[in-house]
Amino acid sequence: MSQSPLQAQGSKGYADAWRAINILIRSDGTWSGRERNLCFRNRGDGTFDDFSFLTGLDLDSDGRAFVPLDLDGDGDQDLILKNRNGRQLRAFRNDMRPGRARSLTVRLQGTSSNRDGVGGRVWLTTDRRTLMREIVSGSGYLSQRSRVATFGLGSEETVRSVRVRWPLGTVEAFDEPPQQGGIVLVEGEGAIRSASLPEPSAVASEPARSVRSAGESGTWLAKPVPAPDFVLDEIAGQAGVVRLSGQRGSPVLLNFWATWCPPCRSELALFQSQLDELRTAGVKILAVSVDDRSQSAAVEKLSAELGLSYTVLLADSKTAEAYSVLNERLFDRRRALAIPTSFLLDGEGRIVKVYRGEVEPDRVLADLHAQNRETLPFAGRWAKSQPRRDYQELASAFAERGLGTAARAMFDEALAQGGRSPLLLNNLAGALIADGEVERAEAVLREALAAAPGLTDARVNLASLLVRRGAVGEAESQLEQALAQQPRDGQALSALGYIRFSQGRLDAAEALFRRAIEAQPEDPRLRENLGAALASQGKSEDALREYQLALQLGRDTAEIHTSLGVLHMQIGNPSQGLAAFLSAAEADPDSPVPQLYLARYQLQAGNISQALDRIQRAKQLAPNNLEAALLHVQALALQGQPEAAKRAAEEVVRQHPESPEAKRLLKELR
Amino acid sequence: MKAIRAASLAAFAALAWAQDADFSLQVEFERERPVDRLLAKVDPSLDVWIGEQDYEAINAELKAIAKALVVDPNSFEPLKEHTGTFRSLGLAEFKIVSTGRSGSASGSARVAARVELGGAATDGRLLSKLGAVDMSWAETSAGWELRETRIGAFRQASADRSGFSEITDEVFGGIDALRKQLDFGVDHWRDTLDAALGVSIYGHQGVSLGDFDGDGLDDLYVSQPSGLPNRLFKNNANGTFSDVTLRAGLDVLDETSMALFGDLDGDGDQDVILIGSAPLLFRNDGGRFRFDDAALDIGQDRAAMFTGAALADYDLDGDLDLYVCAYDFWQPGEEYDAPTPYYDAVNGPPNLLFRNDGSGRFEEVADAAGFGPTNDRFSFAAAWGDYDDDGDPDLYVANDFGRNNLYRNNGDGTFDDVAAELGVEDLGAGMSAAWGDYDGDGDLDLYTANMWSSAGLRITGSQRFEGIAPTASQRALFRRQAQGNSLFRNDGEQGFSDVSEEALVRTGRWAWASDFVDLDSDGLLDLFVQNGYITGERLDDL
Repeated sequence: MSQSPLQAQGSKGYADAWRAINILIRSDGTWSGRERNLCFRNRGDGTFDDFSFLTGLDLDSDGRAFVPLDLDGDGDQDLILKNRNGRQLRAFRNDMRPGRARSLTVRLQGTSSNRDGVGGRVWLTTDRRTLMREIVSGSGYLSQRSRVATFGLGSEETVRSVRVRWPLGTVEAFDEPPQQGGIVLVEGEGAIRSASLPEPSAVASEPARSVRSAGESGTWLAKPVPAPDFVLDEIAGQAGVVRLSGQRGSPVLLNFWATWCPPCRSELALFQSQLDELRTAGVKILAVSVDDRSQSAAVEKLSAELGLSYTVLLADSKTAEAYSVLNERLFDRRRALAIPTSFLLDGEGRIVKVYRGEVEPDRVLADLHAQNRETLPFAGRWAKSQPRRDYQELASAFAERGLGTAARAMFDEALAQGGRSPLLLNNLAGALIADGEVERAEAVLREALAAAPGLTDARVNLASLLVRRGAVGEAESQLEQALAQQPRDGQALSALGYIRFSQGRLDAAEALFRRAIEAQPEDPRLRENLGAALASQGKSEDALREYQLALQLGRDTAEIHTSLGVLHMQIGNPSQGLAAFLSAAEADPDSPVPQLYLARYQLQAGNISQALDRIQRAKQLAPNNLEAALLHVQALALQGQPEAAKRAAEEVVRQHPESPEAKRLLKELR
Repeated sequence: MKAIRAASLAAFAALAWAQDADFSLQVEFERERPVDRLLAKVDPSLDVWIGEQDYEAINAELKAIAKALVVDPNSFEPLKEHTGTFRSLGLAEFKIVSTGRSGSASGSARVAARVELGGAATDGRLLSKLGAVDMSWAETSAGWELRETRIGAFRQASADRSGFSEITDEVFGGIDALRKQLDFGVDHWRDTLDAALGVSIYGHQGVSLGDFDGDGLDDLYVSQPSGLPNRLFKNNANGTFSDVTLRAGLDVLDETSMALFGDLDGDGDQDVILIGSAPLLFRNDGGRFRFDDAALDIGQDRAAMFTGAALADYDLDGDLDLYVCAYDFWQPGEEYDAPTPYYDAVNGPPNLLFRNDGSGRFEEVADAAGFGPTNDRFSFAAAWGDYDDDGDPDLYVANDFGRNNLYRNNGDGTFDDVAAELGVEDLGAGMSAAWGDYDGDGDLDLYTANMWSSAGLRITGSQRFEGIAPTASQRALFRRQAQGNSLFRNDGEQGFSDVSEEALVRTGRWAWASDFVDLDSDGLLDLFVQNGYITGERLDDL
């Protein structure tokens, strides 16, 4: 609620908040849950009593709809409630009055008016009052109550007359109605019919066929989905690498397991014990361990212990994540991949069934031969809809997690299903860029923009691509067009700011980044960009603040920390500078950059041997790094080893003949 | 579908001693899940609301007090004058509705809470009490301590026994589908069925009465989410029902939010329209239903999720016409225009008015009928009622995120939206609409459901909120979204008066179906309000 824009115009933060709420509730979050129902009793003086607790109807299930109905024929209104959560359907007997309640019910039957009497009015006049009901057909929420009007009556009350105004306007009055019970009035008939109720007779209920719960027997997919492809190493002692798509032509049981999961062991052993039957049935088993790669010895050991002779693979993080994302999206209730889980693939590499938890080989064998894949829990008929997999959504889910291969496969499915919507194309472009196919990405973005010129996202993405291939002029005009459509688009502002920055127009860049931040105050990357623009103008303290904000907003990268370190150094906080460089090294231990900053720091502080350690580490991480080599020369010189420094400098010039610094250093040393 | 954005061209500055500043231009997908930011807000330690951290702590204290009260009604001294009349408490609840500082001192807080007590009174009767307390709390090294409790007004009601008893198994116990299908909520099905079947989380599936077999008794039809068959239960006239879904041909798997029974083709039996991803007409042929795909055509570009619907003969030609509410549920990954602005959203899909030609063939005429100008909201519920007693049905439409509509029937096939003029716009999260003469003066009054959210009241009342909605009127609009249900008394020529406060029916919680029903059989219309949005496995409420 907090982020609703006050103007009638989209805001990304607001849409994101909605998206976030939806993700939370899909993964078992609660949103105004356990709220009790309310009953208000009409006191007859214009006020009501809250008597919810006293009715026992104050249930805390997620109520949706209800209908009153006299279930037991005792004259009062019982209730049938419909809830979101189980039990979905509940019936409650009205015990407010002891014994029978006195009431008169009136059913209208139109002849020239609509037969249901909807819109008709019924007045019941007693010696004390006149009560009015209008017949409605659909009210409250998702509820259609009875078209029978019910009038509750006091025990001493005498009914004098019933009057009807039919939907088409005719009025009929009946002066001697029964004192209670049920009547039917037929339009134009002028007489009261007693509501004759049928003899009680219970017909037999139909049986409801249901599949066993998914935990036991797995879930057949209503729409088989292509299994994300992978190439994985087999464990030592097996043949090498396995490409999933290379297995097409026969069904595959793709099992995910881990050494730390006891049920997985017994399941793997069961597969082995019935391997002949499984092979005869033509199904290949791929058992993918999701253990950390450092645990491969444990995986091999367990495999050997169990004597597994089918394929055992070591998952990489992308594969594990891809199947986790898939598992989340195959079910509306989002849950991470639990181990063990198995996927049954058909000969075309499509997942047809998911087994969450252990699966017995007999179940798999039965499923391989199943004539009828029970994708529905109960029999039923589709009138107009069909099961439908949203491949665009699935593709985006993979893309968001950087799983380009899986995303591409799902985009292909979406395209095969005839989707060429601008948004699909925009997102496809993202996946293409991730795969380095920038030319096709550009073409796809242009197609998207031709169909939807107002798709700012695509325009900004195109501009980014253009900058990347040096077409800055067109990038600028695309961004200006995007900003003409969406003046507050943070990404467009930021991209234009970047262009200005790289043109050296720092104050313009700063202004653009500031506007971007106004639009998206919680995006740490914008803070980082602004920090860069400020730092380049020498506004070190302002820059420092922005970088710190970026850090607080969650951008905990080595780059942020090094930038912070540099700024601290500039404004004379060497201890904080050191701390920041150490944080950078921690944030990205595989990068030489923080090591080199630490080396520079130590050189400045006169700790030459510590500097040399850092330089050494940087060289290990990046053997051909010019900067490391130059620092090494400087360190040797400072350590009082001019000869070693000179030799090192000569080596640098040989390896990096293009570097003027190397030449300058060598010259100085000579 | 979610649009994937270029990353912000993260820059690594050209700093004094960084030679060749390395600008890497990346186009990347947003890795950060939007949920992370929201979760950061849910975590009290990062809460942006002034007072919300304190709220969490004090609320925990109040929960502990409530828990102790259930064990011993006299365990909380300040409330003794009210709890003392209970022998035992089954219900003790504090709902904080506003918080603030006591003066300017930090470490002190004032908390207003709604108190609800229910249980067995010392005289053996069932007793419930509702009231308000205003508390002063002080923060000490040991946590928040209650310093003072001022007791506000309390109301009470009592009865010699519980008004209703559950008889689900007696009524539906013989039905196989009850145990196997309906006893599970949608979360079970979301967890066990392929998402491609389309079971969604919201559980917007209702329940309807209609006499499908013409025996004079109302039978029951239960709507179900996509992929699960709706169920038709025949009334056995003995207090039980039987499942006759397949026989009747109404085992429809299409998403169904509600069903409307009525004689739509004038042949004397009850046909049915199912509302969901589209309105679908099924004709009754001797107790078997046949889908008629040609009867209701929503036309191009009218895709939406259809929610509430209602039948009436608006053009007074002797047949039932249909009004259908359209909503746009956000789906993950979908391009979606979130309701904007939140407190008065006008970017919803258009609702539909279908005119019946008498044979059960319908023509969509919303624009021709003049609905156009305000037909742009997120609608949940509609109810026909002749509020002005001129003989033709008028229409009230409850809309989420904003104003409701009251369409006055002009008697010539057109309507005018008179909601503003008559004072029934009821700005709020409209979810339910019902007409009824609660005050016995012969005209139709109106009850609408909204959200009553203690969190919403608290936040919109907080000082921090002033930064988000700068004008008082905007804050009032936001606040109105959380304020509760509305009872509008029909004052004839003077329009309607909002009497929710004086009638004491404002509190609704997160309300859905809310309707008039004579629960105590005294002829006066009482109110029943169904509450609750989504109770997940994790109970840490958003």
